[in-house]
Amino acid sequence: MADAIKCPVCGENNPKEFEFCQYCQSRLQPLTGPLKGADAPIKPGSAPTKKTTADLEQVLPQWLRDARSSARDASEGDLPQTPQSKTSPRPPAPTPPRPSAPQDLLAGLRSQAEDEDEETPDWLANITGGTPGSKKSTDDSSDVRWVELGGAKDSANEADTPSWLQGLAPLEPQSAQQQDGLTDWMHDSDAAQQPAAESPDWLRQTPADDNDKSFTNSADTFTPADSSDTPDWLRQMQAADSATQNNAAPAADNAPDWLNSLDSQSNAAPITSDKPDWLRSLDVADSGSQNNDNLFGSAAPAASDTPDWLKSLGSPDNAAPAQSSDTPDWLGALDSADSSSQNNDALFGGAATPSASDTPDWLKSLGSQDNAVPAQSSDTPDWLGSLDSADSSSQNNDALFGSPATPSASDTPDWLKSLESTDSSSQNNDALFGSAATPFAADTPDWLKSLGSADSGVQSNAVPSASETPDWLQGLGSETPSAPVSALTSPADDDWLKGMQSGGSQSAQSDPLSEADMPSWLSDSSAPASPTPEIESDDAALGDVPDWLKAAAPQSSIYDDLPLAQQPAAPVESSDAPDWLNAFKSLDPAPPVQSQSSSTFDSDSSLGGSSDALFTDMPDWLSGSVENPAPSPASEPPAEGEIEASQLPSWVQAMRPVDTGVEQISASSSEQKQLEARGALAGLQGVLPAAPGYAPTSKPKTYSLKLQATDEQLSQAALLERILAAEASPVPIASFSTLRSSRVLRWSLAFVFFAVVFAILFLRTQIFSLPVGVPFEIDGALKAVQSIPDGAPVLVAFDYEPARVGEMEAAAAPMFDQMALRPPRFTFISTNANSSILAERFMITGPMADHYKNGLQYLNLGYLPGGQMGIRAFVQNPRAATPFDVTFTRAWDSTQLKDVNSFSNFAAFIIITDSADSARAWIEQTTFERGSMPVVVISSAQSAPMIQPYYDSGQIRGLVSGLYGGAIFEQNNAGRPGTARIYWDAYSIGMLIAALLIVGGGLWNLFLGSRDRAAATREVK
Amino acid sequence: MRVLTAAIAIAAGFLILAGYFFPVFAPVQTLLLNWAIILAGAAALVGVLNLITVHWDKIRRREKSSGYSALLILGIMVAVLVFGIVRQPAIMHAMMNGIIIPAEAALMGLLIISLLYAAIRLLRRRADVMSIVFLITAALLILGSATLPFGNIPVLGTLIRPWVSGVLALGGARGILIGVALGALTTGLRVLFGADRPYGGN
Amino acid sequence: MNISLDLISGALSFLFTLLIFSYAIGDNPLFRIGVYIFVGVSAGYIASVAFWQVLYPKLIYPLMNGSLIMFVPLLLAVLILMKVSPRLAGLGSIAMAFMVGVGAAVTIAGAVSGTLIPQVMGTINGFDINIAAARGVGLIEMIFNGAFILAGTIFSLSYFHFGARPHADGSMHRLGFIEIMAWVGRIFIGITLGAIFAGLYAAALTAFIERINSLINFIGSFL
Repeated sequence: MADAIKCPVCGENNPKEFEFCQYCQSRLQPLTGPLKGADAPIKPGSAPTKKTTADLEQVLPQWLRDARSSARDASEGDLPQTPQSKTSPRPPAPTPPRPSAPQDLLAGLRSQAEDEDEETPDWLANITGGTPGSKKSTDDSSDVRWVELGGAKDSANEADTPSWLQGLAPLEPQSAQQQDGLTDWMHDSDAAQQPAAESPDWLRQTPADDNDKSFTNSADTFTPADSSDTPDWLRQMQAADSATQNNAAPAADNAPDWLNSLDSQSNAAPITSDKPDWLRSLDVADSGSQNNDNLFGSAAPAASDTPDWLKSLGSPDNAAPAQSSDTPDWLGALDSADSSSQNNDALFGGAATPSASDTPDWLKSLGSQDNAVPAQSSDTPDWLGSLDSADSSSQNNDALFGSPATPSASDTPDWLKSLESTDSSSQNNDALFGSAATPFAADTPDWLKSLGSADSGVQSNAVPSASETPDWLQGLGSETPSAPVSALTSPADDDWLKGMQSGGSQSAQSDPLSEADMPSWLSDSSAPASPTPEIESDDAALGDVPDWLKAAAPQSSIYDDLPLAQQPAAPVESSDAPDWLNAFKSLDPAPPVQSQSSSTFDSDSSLGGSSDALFTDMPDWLSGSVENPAPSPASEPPAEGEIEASQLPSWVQAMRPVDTGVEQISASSSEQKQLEARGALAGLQGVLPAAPGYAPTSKPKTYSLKLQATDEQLSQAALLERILAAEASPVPIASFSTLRSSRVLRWSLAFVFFAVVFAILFLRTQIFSLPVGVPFEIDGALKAVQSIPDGAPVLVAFDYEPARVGEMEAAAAPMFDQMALRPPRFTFISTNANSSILAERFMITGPMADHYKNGLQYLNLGYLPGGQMGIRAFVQNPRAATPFDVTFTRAWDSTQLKDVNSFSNFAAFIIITDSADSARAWIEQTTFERGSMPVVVISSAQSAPMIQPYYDSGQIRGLVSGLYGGAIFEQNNAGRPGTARIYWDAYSIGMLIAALLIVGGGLWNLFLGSRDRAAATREVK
Repeated sequence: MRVLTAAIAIAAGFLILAGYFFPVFAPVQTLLLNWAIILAGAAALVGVLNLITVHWDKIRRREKSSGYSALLILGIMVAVLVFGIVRQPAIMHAMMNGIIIPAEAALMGLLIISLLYAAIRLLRRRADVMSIVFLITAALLILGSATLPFGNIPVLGTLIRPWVSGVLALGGARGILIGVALGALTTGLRVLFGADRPYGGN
Repeated sequence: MNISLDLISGALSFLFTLLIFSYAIGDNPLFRIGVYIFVGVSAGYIASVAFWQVLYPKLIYPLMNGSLIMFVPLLLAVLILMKVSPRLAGLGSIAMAFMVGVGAAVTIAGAVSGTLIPQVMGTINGFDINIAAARGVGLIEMIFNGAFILAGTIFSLSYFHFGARPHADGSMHRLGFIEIMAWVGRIFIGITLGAIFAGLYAAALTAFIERINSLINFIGSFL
């Protein structure tokens, strides 16, 4: 076998370097076994359900099975070739498969798969390859790594690697270094795997380097102390799990013979007749997929004796790859979940085999607990809580790990502990893990301990509740540590199994270094991201991978973000679930509790690259499958009446994005170090989310549309409504008919007055006598005027409007006539703009024209604006206020004012005004300065009533108002007829007519008004 | 601006008040009052300019009454020409006696018709005590102001009218005057303390 | 010239009187023409008076003679002239504030010294025998008149008292005795307003008579 390869088709010998037969062009180098069977068409919407070819083997005719087994034997010698193929440039294109290829049932599908690369429908491409998962760089606090993208360390090796395979490469060197750390049984398994002769055909194609490296990471670091108490079969599971995660090692010494033999059996002949078919296929897939991983070999035998559900736990993690279309949905889902998870967790990554649809709820929740993190409700039994805490602590540092786990370990069954320790080892270094696993050993049944230990460190949070947890379940719970993810976010009990799967994926994500341990076919399926040189070399070996599978590989990355989002998840759990269920819930990815997640990640980061490498061994397809449950509704407690997630098709569960999306975005927002998972920006940090506003961390609250109001408020509102209604309602009011302007009355009045006045004036009658008697105010004015010395300066304020010219001149003329007899020096001033010229008119063309012509002098200071301000200014300092007269001559230099320096120097002050306000202003502002100066007011009849009080109070000496006052004054003016006399008859008749009209018309209208009001009142009533 | 205007108003007010009571501030008071006189004259110009602006806009927009506005502008121009430019006293008196006094006095004369019309129909619309007292008082005083060919109307013109106008009306008028004075005092104080800012600037 | 001006003045007076009196038959264009012209001429006259009798002698002339202090009122006058422009009207508020401040102070001083105190004292003096004797008024008449004046003053002031308190039903009412005093005050005020109305009518009637007389005189000048 070392020199030549016998063509399985034509029987001719070919050099071992040949990949295809030089005679018949048949494939000599076996394709990756599990992938070959993945050519089955993927149904729309379903996750790429990879099947293990082993599933189909049982349906093969016996002759074909024999041929396959023989081909495997024959191809064992090909294993050494893989390194060569790795270093060789990537083959141009895989040779079209030969359906009759003996190496694997589906080996011939290779070329078909290649063709499908371009023929893959969009829906499939979207599902599978479109979204490479985001991952955290190695220095991420969360320490979560995504296999697809790989870490910085991986990039060199991934140069030639297909993008989706990149994540696997970096693991190789480390795994090689840690090879020594493997336990005996692991060595055995290694030995069994490395020799090409002992490997199945599909396994032979995996590069030997990968085998070596795959165990290097943590073989020496993982030494679960509890292994001694763990049932052998479980210990092997644990060891297998840890082995795949490079932490594995421990329990090999204690592995029973049957397990060792199983190992070898699994390598040599994956199909065990004792196993159920599905498990057999798992075994085969496992061994094939992980190649050197004895995990699977060891798990397989255990599965034969373990209940189905437990078998399912064991297998899928390693499990493999492509599933035939015959695979039941639940299995497919599991597989896909596993593949996406990229977990190395032998037990639980693979254990996810049973899909949610066919698994009992409690088992699903167990699955979800894989990703689960800490959060526990108070209702969670302790023993189940320990499971949670175990999960959460899986990403904690050493201190966290060792101590908190202790109490929980007491009650944990061994087999569960082993699970826990296995998981924990996946993310923690040896020291951590040893301490973490130790406590479990005490009271936990061995088989459970193994589970528990398999689940990495976890247990820190599990401490309090672990004591009550059934042993067997504790292990399960702790198993999930590596995946803080999705299980926590989904308290749904029915998704426990998915949670487990995702948990596995998480562990894989956290350790990209271990990718190197992956068989090439697994690497192919797991790293779609960035092509590196090394990828190319790997591609040479992976050239047989069908294109559709390559495309499918990134599918796992669809949910790459899930673990990140789910890691933080935690504590919230529904308290309504039964205790045993809450236990699983707690393991489920809880709705976002970022604080915990961050701390968890931090602790993980402290674990170093070795622990990271543990999980990168998981191929994409496997990590993806594990991640699938993450977004599953397990994160949401199922509401009553809601369809249980277990009844959903696996692909639907896998695609449920809600919780995952939320957590994913929230995680990305909280942790800037997260790498962009998809699109052109894949691999970049701090990329803003595609949907900026979409980062809800919780469901939006629902607000009731019903108004929340107290009775008092309601009553007040009703009262307000009544008030408003009363305001709006028309209220009949007692209204009168509009009083229309009576034009007749107006015209009648006008006619009467025009006729009467015109007639009287035209006739110049003097029938009516002038008023008899002298009122006190007029008498006072008369006396004041008469008291004015000859030639004394008299200040006269002309403040009336042109409309009152007739009245004011008629009222003032008698007084001025009186004064003209002993002419004083008149000084006129006006606070009304029109009055300045009216003063001129009064003297020149008015009643005083004759006196003016006879030499009566006056000085007109003109207009004094500002009302009271001007008066005050003039009273206080007349020279400053009115320096010039109306002719713009210096007033105070004239003879009229030669001895006047202040207001008080005037001998008298006469106010001729038609405005009470003007009179009041003059009176008020001259109060301090006038002293004993006589002040006389000649006012209009209109303003007289308001000036009368000033006379009564003694502020003015006299008051002559209107024509009535002028007529009286005129009678005392030496009997000279004046204007008052001319007007008086008309005035008296007009006054009488007015009085009669007011009285008569008022009474008549009072009657009419009373009648109208009475009628209106009757109308209203 | 608001603070500035308030400060100006308050400061000027208090300086003027100080001039009433402290002779020291009398010159300041005189100065400020003279400034106020000037500003009052400027304000009169502002009023005229605003009137011109309003009616000029009406003419420009060719509104319905733009013809009357044109007459108004024309009247302004003529008056400015006569009183502002020509400044001949005879012409000024002629314009005053020919336009301003007749128009305004005629308007005042027409008031008798409106006053009588309103007084006659007052009780039809509103027949309360005040209206009745108002009309009775008016009638008495009007009637008491008239005379008959043989002299004053007995009692009414010699007793009632003087007593009503010299006592009853005096009491009411005094109350009104005191009320007005109190209102003016309050308003002035509010302005001086900045509570009221009728000068704008907000 | 004088004759001509008197004739023109008389004719204008006659014309404008008729134009305005035409309003007795209702609003009409003649009345509007007369009113608009009257308003225009009055405005022009006021503007001329404001300039020639105020601004020029009190502001411009001192400025022309070097009175720098008058730049302050000049600035204020310019600011107040900005009231014409809506855009710059805000600047005029400074000058307005100055005028309001000065006016408020003058009003306060005048109201207190010229009206408030003297009128209160006048009400008190209504019962002064000496004053009554000086006027030739008897004691009873003095007390009688003084009481009415006092009552009229107080009740009228009560009418302007608008302070009120809320009642139980939420309505606002003045105190009972103030309400009564206010009611009596309304009578006094009614009497006062009646007196004013009578004086207004007398003034209007006098103006009407004067206008009719001017018409007759103008017509008579041609006869």
